[in-house]
Amino acid sequence: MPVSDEILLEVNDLVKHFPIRGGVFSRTVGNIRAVDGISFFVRKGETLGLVGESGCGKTTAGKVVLRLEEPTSGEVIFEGKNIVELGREGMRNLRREMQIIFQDPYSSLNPRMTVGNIIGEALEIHGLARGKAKEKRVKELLETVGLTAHHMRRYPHEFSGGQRQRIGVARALAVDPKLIICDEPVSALDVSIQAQVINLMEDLQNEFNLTYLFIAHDLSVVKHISDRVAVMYLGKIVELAEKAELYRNPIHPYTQALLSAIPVPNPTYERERILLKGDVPSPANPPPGCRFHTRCPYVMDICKEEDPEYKDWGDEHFASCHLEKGAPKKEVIATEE
Amino acid sequence: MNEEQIGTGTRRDIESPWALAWRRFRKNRLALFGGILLSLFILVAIFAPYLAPYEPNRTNVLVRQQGPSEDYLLGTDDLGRCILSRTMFGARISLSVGVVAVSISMFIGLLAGSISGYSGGIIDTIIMRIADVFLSFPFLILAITASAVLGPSIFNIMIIIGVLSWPGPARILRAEFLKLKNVDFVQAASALGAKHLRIIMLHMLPNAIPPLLVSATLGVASAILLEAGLSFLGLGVPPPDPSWGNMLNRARQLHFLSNMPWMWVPPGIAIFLAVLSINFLGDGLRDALDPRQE
Repeated sequence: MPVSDEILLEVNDLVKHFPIRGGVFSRTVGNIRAVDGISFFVRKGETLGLVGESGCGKTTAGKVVLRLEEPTSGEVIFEGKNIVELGREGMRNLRREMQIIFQDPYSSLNPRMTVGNIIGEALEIHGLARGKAKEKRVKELLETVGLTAHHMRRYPHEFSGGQRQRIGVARALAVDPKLIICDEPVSALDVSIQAQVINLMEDLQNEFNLTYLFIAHDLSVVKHISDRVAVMYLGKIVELAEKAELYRNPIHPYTQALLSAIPVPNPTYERERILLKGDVPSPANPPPGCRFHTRCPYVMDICKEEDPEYKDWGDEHFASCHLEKGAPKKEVIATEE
Repeated sequence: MNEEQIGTGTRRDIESPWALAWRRFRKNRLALFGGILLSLFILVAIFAPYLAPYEPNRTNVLVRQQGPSEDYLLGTDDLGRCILSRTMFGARISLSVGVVAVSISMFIGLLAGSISGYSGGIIDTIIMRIADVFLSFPFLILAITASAVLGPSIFNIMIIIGVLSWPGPARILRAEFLKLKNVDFVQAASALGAKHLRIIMLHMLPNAIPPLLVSATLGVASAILLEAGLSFLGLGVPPPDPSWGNMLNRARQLHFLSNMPWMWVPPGIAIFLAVLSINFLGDGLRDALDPRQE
């Protein structure tokens, strides 16, 4: 697919804290640091995978980029404009450029609207098409995502999970967006359906020159669709690199551990598994220094005090780790099937 | 390409969520019975002028205090008025008090609940504290005081019951809105750039209506009981217009109670059956509209 050099989306030091309220007068007694200063950029036409465990803040990051949640601080620059500063009208116009596909196909469609109205809503909101023209466009979109025109008069409860997800994709496509944030779009689907939806999304990307920010907790899904991959841990990006580079040469021990957890479709293949101890610490009270030091197999004294710098290790391979040469190389993944 | 094919999409086999609810409702015998009984009450109320054998307010001292007979199927009261006619016309007043009062409380509750639930924050707190104030007064005593101050009339009764019972529906709607605000399809609508009004009217309200509908149905039943209670105390519908409540009030004397059961049994049974049928209907609606059942 044609990835240009042009940067479509740039996120600088984005922070989202959710206040924890308590006490008699709902005073703020602390913060959940869901997203704690992340920076990345996405080039036009590429797919940036964003992976991490549950609760690491990846979904919040996606929502803040769309301003479905207001950021606490930081910049989101879309086509050169800082959208954090946009007013309500400006933001409404920008909604045509960036869209979202949700994880759960059951809660993402209004059960009391027909599929035609769900997909056509965007056209109505932005005054893109009405009446017959709207109907025609909805039919077109349904066919684009692999459904048929007569589905438009049906209600969501009559469809299967995979079909519902296709409807969600059609809704996002209705406004002809440039960027689509895919919030774990296949995690809730059966494995057999996952591949179909992923392939559909790839086809659509080529056809409409879409840019994806693809959020997932599964490195094998991300590996298939992404050009570059960012790994999040506890509200921060710990590593970001071109896909092959990241899978071949993980610098951060956390990335290495994630990679070692990818299932290998070969029962005789022997490899070293890296098993992390303990749980992810609470984002309300992240550990000082490097956030990963409580679980890192290579922890040093400096890790407990100083937050490692997030820097370029060469060839746009970004990572934040105190280890001089990164995590020791290990045969953790099956290179290519 | 599709995982599975579903019907060909002729209009007949498309099932809207309301059609689905109706299909489930039909299976519920008790609810269906409630619905039919209530429909009968409503029909009688509407066509009372044609169905009733006598003018409900016409007195006739010659036939006063008569038991059921061929001329007066349910007998007459102490002023010689036909009990059957009065019970039929009473249905008009009792049912309309129920419906209008609930409409008022639903309207206020809808407005307050949706604003409260959607906006959250300080507005939510203010509205909910006002609701708490309304709930903290003993309902009957407040209603009695209000009706004593405003004077008893059908219209006042509707307003008093309606205005005093808005916190119920408001709380239900607020809870639904709080839940819906974070549901993905609402987020999707705002990601598409939908305005607040559109989100509320198209995405949140239609999905919040079912529990409200159930509470409205049950509200009609309790409004009818309240009207009866207030009228019984002489603070509701003023005589001579008949309501089930003031017919009971009329029969309050020991002499009538012990010797003339036809004076108080018909309105009593009417109240009982109306409330029962509405409650059956409400329960049936609750089961039919519950999205968790499939």
